[in-house]
Amino acid sequence: MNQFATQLPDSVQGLNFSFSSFLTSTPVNILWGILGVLGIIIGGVTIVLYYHWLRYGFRDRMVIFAQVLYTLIVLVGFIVLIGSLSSYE
Amino acid sequence: MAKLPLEPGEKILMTFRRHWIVYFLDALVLFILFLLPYTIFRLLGLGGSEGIITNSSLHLATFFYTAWFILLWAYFFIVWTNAYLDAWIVTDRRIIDIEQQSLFHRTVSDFRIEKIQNIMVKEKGLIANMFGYGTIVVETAGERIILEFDTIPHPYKVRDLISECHDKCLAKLSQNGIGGQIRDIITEG
Repeated sequence: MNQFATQLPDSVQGLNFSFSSFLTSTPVNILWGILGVLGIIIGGVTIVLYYHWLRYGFRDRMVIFAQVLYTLIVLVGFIVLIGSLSSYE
Repeated sequence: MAKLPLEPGEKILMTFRRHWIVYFLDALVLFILFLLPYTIFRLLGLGGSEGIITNSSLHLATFFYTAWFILLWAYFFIVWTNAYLDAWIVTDRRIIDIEQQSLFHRTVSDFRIEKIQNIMVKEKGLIANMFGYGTIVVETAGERIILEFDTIPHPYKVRDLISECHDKCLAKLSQNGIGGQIRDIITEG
């Protein structure tokens, strides 16, 4: 058990949920699995959004701005996710 | 904007979209949702006095918070796209109402500008009056079609523009000798 876990209560009262054990014993494979599911969901949403933006908002300045902003932040977000998981290992 | 099936010689006069407050309110709700896990975490007292973020827990916390942020970010753009693709297009002959009810549910309806019988503007509430947005309701003669576009910016200007187009259109039709018939239809309606 690391330093962090010792500062936490054993469980949240009434919920029977041990937060400290969750933070110290979450297997990394599960986290990679969560990342994979998130990737599939966000990938699907991105395809649907791009379909709408290109079909109905083609050459619209606001839509182009939204495309760039959305894509950049999602990419940075996934880089942070992968980075944090790699460090967690 | 996707290509609209315009008639030969038809000109787009103006395109109206929703007021920015719609997007702002959506963003505000999602921002509160973004802060929610952190707030709950603090309220439950799960962060010790020396700070919760150390070693591997830092990476795990970053992972979950970033995942939560990405989900909210994607959801915001779904909501934004639904709202932004709603539009009212006023041409010199028609009003085209495009309603993006949800992703993959899009309705496009239009009616001839000369058929307009009544244009109503509704500015309801303090915020609507402060920020200058409202609802425009256009009623047509004949089939009694009612078109409504809410949270439109500068609704009075839009009404004036539509009225002006309506008058011009009737004048043009009068010159062609069919204005009288249309006026009869409107009066009967």
